[in-house]
Amino acid sequence: MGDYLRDAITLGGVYVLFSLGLTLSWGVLNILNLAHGNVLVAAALSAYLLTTQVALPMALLLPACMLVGALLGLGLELLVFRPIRARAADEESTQLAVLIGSVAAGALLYAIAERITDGRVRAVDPGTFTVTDYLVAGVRVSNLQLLIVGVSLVLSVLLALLVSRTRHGRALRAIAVDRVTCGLLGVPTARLAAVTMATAGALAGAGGLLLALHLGSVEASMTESLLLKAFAVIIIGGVGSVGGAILGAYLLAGAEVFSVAYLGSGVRDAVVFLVILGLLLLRPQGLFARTAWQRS
Amino acid sequence: MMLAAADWFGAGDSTIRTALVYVLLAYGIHLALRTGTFSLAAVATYGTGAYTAGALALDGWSPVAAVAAAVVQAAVAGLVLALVLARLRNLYLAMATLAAVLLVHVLALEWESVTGGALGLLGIPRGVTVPQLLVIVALCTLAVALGERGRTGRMLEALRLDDQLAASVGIDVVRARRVAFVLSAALGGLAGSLSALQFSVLTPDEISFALIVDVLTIVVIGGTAAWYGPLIGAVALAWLPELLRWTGDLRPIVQAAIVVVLVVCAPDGAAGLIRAVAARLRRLRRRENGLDVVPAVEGAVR
Amino acid sequence: MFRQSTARRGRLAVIGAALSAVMILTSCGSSGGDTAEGAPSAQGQGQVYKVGFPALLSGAAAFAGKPIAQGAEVAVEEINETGFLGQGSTVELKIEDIKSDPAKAIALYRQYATDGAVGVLCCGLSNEAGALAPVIRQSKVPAIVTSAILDGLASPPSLFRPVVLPSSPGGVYDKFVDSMAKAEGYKTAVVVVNGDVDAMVADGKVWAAAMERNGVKVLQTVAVGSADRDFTAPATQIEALAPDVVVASTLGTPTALLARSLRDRGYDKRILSSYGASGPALFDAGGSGLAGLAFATPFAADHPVNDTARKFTERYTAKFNAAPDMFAAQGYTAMWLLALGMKNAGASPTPESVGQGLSQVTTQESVYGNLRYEGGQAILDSPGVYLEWTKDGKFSELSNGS
Repeated sequence: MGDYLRDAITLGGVYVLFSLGLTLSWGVLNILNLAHGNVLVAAALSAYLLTTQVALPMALLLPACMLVGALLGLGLELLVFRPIRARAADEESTQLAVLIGSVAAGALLYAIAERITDGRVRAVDPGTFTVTDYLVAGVRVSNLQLLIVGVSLVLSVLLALLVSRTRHGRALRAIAVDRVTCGLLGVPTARLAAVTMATAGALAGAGGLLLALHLGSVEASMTESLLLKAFAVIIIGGVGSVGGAILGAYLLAGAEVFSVAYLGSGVRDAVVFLVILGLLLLRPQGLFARTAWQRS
Repeated sequence: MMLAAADWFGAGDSTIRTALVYVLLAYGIHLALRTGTFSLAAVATYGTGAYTAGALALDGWSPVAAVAAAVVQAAVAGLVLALVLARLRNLYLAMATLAAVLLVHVLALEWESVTGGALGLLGIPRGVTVPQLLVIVALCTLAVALGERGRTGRMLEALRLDDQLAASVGIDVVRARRVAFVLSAALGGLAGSLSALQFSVLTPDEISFALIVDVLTIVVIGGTAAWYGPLIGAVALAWLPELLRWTGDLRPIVQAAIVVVLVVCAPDGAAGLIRAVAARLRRLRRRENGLDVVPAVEGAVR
Repeated sequence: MFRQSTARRGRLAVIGAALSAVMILTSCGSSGGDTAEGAPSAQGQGQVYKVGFPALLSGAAAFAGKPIAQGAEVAVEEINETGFLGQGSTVELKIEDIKSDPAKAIALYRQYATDGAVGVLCCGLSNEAGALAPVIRQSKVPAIVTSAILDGLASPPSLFRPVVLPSSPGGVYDKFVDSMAKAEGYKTAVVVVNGDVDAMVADGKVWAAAMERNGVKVLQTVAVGSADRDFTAPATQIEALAPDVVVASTLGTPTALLARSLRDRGYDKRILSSYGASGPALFDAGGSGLAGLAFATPFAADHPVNDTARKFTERYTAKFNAAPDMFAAQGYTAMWLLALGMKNAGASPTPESVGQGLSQVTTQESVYGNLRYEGGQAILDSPGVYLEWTKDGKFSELSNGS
């Protein structure tokens, strides 16, 4: 029981990191970024490439992966999303064009990842980070699991503070409501969009590293199932809600781990679909949508 | 280029078959997009249709019966989805239908007694010839082309531009969208069933994110401005590997990069380009004839 | 071709390949020659035996397809050099890429039949095997299955399979478990199977029965998906059961990742698996977590069971500058079986007479040891080589009790 709880909390931590970026870009910029998973893989792959070349301590590896993610997020915004936004006629067609753009960009990142891994699963094994176990309340917990939970907690608290307490955050919430008016009022919307995408990318970067360590491996296609989990998290939590995403991630991870433990691994995805379908039917705005910034 | 064309038509029987199937699937997406709906439901029913037709054909059903059953199944699935997702629009709908595609993939993997699990369905009797396929594609193309003219065409255009506008001119928006959704799903089912009956092997891999990428690539290249968009897109997608042969191992990367550039620089695709050129030519002719009319209508229809 | 245009369809195709050979993941490190070129054509006035091979040279299954084709090429070279089919008689092997398309495999098979081939090597993937087998059974040109392990493929006089099926009664698994259980004294075991792959589930039952027969209690059979990448939950479950041995009746990649997760959880006892765990590239996926993972394999380049294996390894290494793997051995063995059939067919071979000739083959001296044939299916009586992964990605040999 304790073991399963520990697994659920670890998995929840990974889901949080992945979903936060996705829900952030959707909530603030109305971007459903389907390349988000590929950014995560890119970060995990750079961890793989880095650790096979040099022995990097975790204190450097984590920032390096977050940097890769942030740069890719920034690149997506500047090279793909912004030009598309500049051309499109109205908000609705912008959303769809950007969505298609993200699929195309994701396919490009995927093709590169496929090339690097040669289409195979690659073990990620940072020599400098040795997994050691501790006994916490009778449950064996590894330092890796503590790291995953710790990083996801710290980053999500930082994000929540950024959004709710800073001027920056106020500006983000404002452009989430009405980008055009904000632009007229002198809010630097373009810069804020770039910052948002970079932040989302950095979160995915951290998620990529920790997921790779958690699984012990990286693979170009490892995000497809993750994308689905993130959808479920966003649906539970409500688009754009940081707190909702955190709750959603842990609820989903718990449901998954315990259903796998008691019903077998075949039901794993079924649980996710049940959550998605049920909520779409009953409460499309999400369970915890009180704080959602904007709904379209 | 000519050489490549000759090579393509000479060599790739299965390439042609795939291209034709993809045209149908692309029409499924096209139809939804024309009504201003971003729905990937057609990709999901492509999967269910393929498995329905494949499993039935393995049970000894005739190809016609298997395809018909698959199309009916897909239409029903489309109706159910339309009802369940009725309240969703835009990104929410895109996400929900994308989840449906991934659901079909998982079902194909897990429901082993029907789908054959990871190995898929093997030895499906081949029941569709290329000429038959050509006829089906021609009929569907004709139907789509006709649907974009006259009253239905104007209705589609109004739906795409603005719900309130559409309602104000007497269109039952909810019903029209539902019809488009069901037709889109049925087209997806048709494409899937025809695919299953041609390649004799059906694996869960066929219905995955990659299929979405392929279909969207067609949409991007062809554009959604006119009925011939998906045709151009599917032929181009079939042709790309041949055209990019010189890039060798780097082909998937180069191809993906080209699509990204197209999305960013030519968002209306080939159909949009053709329309723009045609409009300009018409304007020139009018000017020559001394009829210098304001081309506002062209701009609105795009 | 463009059925794979976006390459994302890779994973399951790889699973298909793995199914076909029980094993996944083998690096095709050797670049080799252009395999599509085929062997030099015949000289002299002897007979020319045309053989076609619709192979998997590109796409996700190329890691298996390339070494299979290269193994077959080595066999052709040997057959032609030694004059095995009579003075001046040669085999002309035509290898062509099916580009991951079963329909193309069927088209090529028909083409070879029209071009006068007397035999065909085929069915690299189980997918292709499933698609091709019905066609082959209805036509004349006999085919040798190089790697597919799909049920009931062998059916003389049209389909022959020199692939060792380790789960047959008294076969490789049974002997392996007997030997290991005796040497290491297991009391309890957990069996992990790929629940979505019939062959792996069936193999799991064979493993479990072999364990029970040796007085080992099977605590539980855990089902995992062949496309799963997260094995932390099963690892937790197994760790709680604390068995003396874990049997992984899983494909190569899941085996590597499971072993890795078990080791991360601190499970340090024996893990047994099939020869799917033998690919050098398994180490890419599992890393040092593979240490202590043991398997039985009919062929290992570094541990040859006989002179045939030794010579094959030498020739292959000289030609392709890399050691042959299990797939290469399968291609080599398949081509040699066809040669035996062609020899039996006598002076003026036709597809029918080669089919008859193949039906007459009862034994084959192979790189695995002596193969017996029953109903076109190969059976291996020797135990194979027992190997164990070390921490640094190498193999150390375990006693096979013989």
